[in-house]
Formats: sequence, C-alpha cells, structure tokens
Amino acid sequence: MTVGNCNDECGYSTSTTVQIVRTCTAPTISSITPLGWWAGQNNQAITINGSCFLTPSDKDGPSRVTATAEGVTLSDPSVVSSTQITATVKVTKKAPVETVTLTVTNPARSGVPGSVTASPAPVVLPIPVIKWKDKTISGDDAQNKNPSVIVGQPVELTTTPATLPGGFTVSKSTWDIDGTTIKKYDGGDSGITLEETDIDTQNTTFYWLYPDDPLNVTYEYCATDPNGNQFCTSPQAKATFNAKGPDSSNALSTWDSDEATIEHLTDCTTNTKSPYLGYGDLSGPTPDCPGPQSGTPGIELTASGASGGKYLFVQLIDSDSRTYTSSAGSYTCTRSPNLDKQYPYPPYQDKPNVAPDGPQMPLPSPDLSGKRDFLATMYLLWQPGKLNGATNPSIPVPIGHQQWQFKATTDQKQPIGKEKWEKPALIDHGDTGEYVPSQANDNELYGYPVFTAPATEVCP
Amino acid sequence: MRNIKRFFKMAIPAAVVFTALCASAQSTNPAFTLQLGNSKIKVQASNVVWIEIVQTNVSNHRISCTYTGGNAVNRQYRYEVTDEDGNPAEKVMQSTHVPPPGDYMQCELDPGESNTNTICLSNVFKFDRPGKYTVRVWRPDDPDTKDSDGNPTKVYSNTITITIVPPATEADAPK
Repeated sequence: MTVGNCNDECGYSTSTTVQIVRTCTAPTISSITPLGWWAGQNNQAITINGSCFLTPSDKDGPSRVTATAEGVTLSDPSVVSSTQITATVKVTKKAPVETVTLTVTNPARSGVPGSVTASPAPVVLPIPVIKWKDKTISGDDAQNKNPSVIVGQPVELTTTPATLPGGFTVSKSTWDIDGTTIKKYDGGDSGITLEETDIDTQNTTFYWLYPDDPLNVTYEYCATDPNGNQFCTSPQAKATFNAKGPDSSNALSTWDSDEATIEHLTDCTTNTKSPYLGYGDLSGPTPDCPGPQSGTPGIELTASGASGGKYLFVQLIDSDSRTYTSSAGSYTCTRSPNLDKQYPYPPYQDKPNVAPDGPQMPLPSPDLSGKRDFLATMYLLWQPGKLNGATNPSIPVPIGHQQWQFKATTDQKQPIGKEKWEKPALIDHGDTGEYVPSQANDNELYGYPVFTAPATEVCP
Repeated sequence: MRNIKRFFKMAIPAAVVFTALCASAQSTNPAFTLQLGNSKIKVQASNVVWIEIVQTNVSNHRISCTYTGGNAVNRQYRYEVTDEDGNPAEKVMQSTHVPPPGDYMQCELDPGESNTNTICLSNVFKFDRPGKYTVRVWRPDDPDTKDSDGNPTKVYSNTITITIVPPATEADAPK
C-alpha cells in the first residue's frame, strides 16, 4: 500500500510501502450475559462478548449497539474493549414474550465496516400472569382483581408464559398459597387421604379447606436458556382471593331423647321378642332380620347454617364397651377408637342435615345385668354443590364435631331367664360438651376425622 | 323430652320376610346390585380379611341399605365362604357366650345412589388355614320384589377369591 507519495514539490521523488495486518473484518458476538431479560425491570446490566468492537479511542469508534423489541430500551452502552461491551436494558412490564434483535455495528468509515446481530438472540422473559376461569387475576390488567371462591370448590389456576421463544424453557415454577389447601381428597371406610397441593408446577388445582380473606397467591418461575443457564426468579404474579364458607354460623346441635329403654325387637325366625338395652326407644326386627326399625332414636345431631351444598357426617367411636354379668362372672367386649360402621354416616334421607343414633345391645336371658358405655364423636363435613365452571369435583371440608355419650345399665328381674328386665338406669347421655368448630391444626388431617377402618370389637 | 316418633317404611312384617327367604330364589330383576371387592384397608396379619360391598339402587324407588350389628360386620348381609374343597368355612366362636353386637343404623338409597360397607369377614369366619377361599354375599331384595311364590328374593353379589398365604418363617425373612 502506498502511504506517501512526494511529487515534484519535494524536489525528489520517493515512495514507501507499509504493510497493515488486518485482523478484523467485522464485529462478532460470541455471547450475551444474561441472555434472558426480565420484563418490568429497569437497569438490567448486560455484557456483550465478541471481537472487533471499536472502543472510543479507536478511529471512528466506538461501535454502536442497538436492541430492537417492543418495550425494550438499551442505554449506556460502553465498549470496554475490542472484545466486550457493557450496557443496561430496561424492559417494560407489558413487554410481550419475544426475542430481541441486538446488533453491534462498526461505522463504515472505520475501515472495519459491518455489523452483527446476536444469535442466539436475547429473550424477553415476561412477568407471569395467573388466570382463573380463563380470566386474568394478577397484575395491573387483572380482569378479576379479588375473586371469590367457596371452600371445597376446586380452584384451577393456570399461568403464562407456558412457552418461551429462542429455545428458552420454563424450568421451574413456584407457588406460594395462603391458607390451608389440599390437592386431592379421598374418603372411604379405610380413612380419609389427602394430597398436598402442587406448588412446583406451572398450573395448579387445589381446594381451600377453611374460609379466610384475604388469601394471597403468588407465582414465579425460572427460565433456562439453550445453553443450560437458569435465570431465577421472575417477578411475582400475585392474586388475592376471598374463600367463603357455607355460612359463618355453621353448627351441629344435639337433641337427646333422655331415655334408655328395654327395646323388644322381633326375631323373624321365631317371631318372638328379644330384649335389647337401647338409647331411645326403637322397635322392629332384630339385627339378623331385614327391615327397618322405627321409633325414637337416642340422639339426633342436626347440622345447620349452609344455604346450599350438602352435609356429610362421619362418626368415630372414641370408646365403647358392653358388659354382661352372669352367675359365672362378668365379661366385657370393647371397641377401640375407629370409624363407626361406615363412611359417611347416613343421615335421614328426607332430612339430610340430621343424623340419628341409638346404640343397642342384646340382653341374653342367662345374664343378671347388662351395661353399655358408649362414647362417640360425630364429625360434620360440608361439600359445596356449585362447581362454578370447574372441571374437577368439589370435596367435603371439615366444619366441626360434637362428642356424645350413652351410658346405661339394667338388671334382669327375678327369676333369671324370663327375660324381664328392669327399666334401665341412664347414667350419662347426650353431648359431653360444646360443639367444636374444626381447625386446620386439629390433627394431621387438617381437622378431618382420622380413622383407618370400621371399629372392631374384642371380646373374651 | 321431645316425644317424637319416626316411622320408617316397612312394607310387610319382618317375620314373614325372613321366613320366606329360606325358600326364596335369586332375584331376576333386583332393585339393587351388590358389587364385592377387596378392601383398601391395609392388613398386617395374613388371616385378617376385609371385603368391600357396594350396594347400588338400580330401581326407580327408594330402598333400604340399613346396617345392623357392629364389630365391622353388617348382619343385614349373609356371607357365604367356602374353602378350596367347596366346604363352608369354619365360623369364629368366642370363648365365652357373648351375643354379637346389635347396633342399628338406618340407611336408605334413592334411585341411582350407592352405599359402601367394608366388612371384617374374619370376624365371622376363620381364615387361619392357608388356601383359597371363595366369597359371595347376598341381601334380601326390596320387600316389594317377590318370586312367583310371593317370596322376597335374594340379590347376590359377584364372587371373589381370597388367598391366605402361610405366615412368613424366619428363613423367609429378609436378611
């Protein structure tokens, strides 16, 4: 290359040739850190690594940096060296999920003209959004800012973004949900089982068990770029619910017959009457015979307060013994705490808010006396009827419980064997105390009744 | 005391019902179905047997699902258990004469509804010998459903097989 060329004005003529080693033909970008830019955050520092960047001290420098995407502003670019540029980016809250066109350009006059666009491209990682029933319930643009739900009703929440561009993936999701919630309820004679709410999935479905207001729900996520770098965590999406119960005045009241009687039940094989010590006063067939009994039960437990949905009763045996005394001595059969007969305990079909009971025990003719000592707790659950557009079923939630007892004894009149029994002495009966509203910290099942099987009896 | 009297529907006297049952046939158009299955209850001992009975009202009227008894045995059902040779399984006998519990729990099912009872069958039959036992249950059909002789018919469940395995010996125990 000829860099100097004197002409006749010099009086002499000479020429010098200088060899310039051109190391750069155009800028390159090898990496951008970070590659994911959070929406809604200002002053996010980024570093662009590459080559052939022109610093301010270079002729025609510095290199120019641009970022093109909706809601994205790049500022304060600084070419630190020919291999590194720093800058800050600001991404507005409403920036959509998108890739960013980031370009480094060297001025054409510099002798190393050209530009380069980053690949892979930076990605705008949007503020997450929580949706319920296809409506946005988080953020400034929430369509439903304070949604109301009912305990026991499925709360099916979805979120965006579900996918990300540029090879990014949503690699971790985190929910934080106020109140007592479960993912799944299953009840049967073998007990009630609950599943914990999923708090690490992109979408979640759960049930609130107890009413409360406000109940905050937040969601955030992490994203992973194509190179395996994880970006945690996103700005939070936040929604505030109001979980309502069936009614604030839900309660379980007891009506007590206040009597123990000798009930004469009919043996359908012999058509004879057999004596039973009973709470209340029932008549009808003996237990081996088909057909219902009629009369007055010993106790009725009545649920009140709910304007819809349905009640479920579950009765647990706390303790139960029946003792017979004959001339040979006394023998006692006992039941350990567990489920009374079946789950759920059936109420009257025509009064689904009333559950009756009237423990009975047969009185064998050779025995001198019989005694029953029965202690049980009736649990009240409530299941909402309205699904409110949800696809999952509603579940029963704990409402409260009431303990009650029946303790009575009777002696056979002389002569023994004629099956004439004295009017029973009613020792204890009815509720043992106040109705107790359920609490989430009642037990390991958030206040649900705890049992494993129908109660069985041990006899000598 | 509140003097109330509750009267449940009772179409015909119970004595007539059960006497007739002894000679009655299986219901051909029953008011309900019985589905027998294994219980979800976890059993520690090998000879403790739980079964599950699901009664479903397939009629167009309300039916009884009454529970009587106790000790995890609903005596409204009859239990038929035979061993591998077809012999009836041996019943459990208590060492002293104690009558079985006789508690009553009223229960009714509207059309389409189901009710589940979990029964501790080993409280009725001995399952202390290894082998296969065949189990079936039945319950008197709706009192309004009668055979050609006017007797209430029986509704049978499906049959299931329960296998009792020998207790693990020390040699079988994991080292």
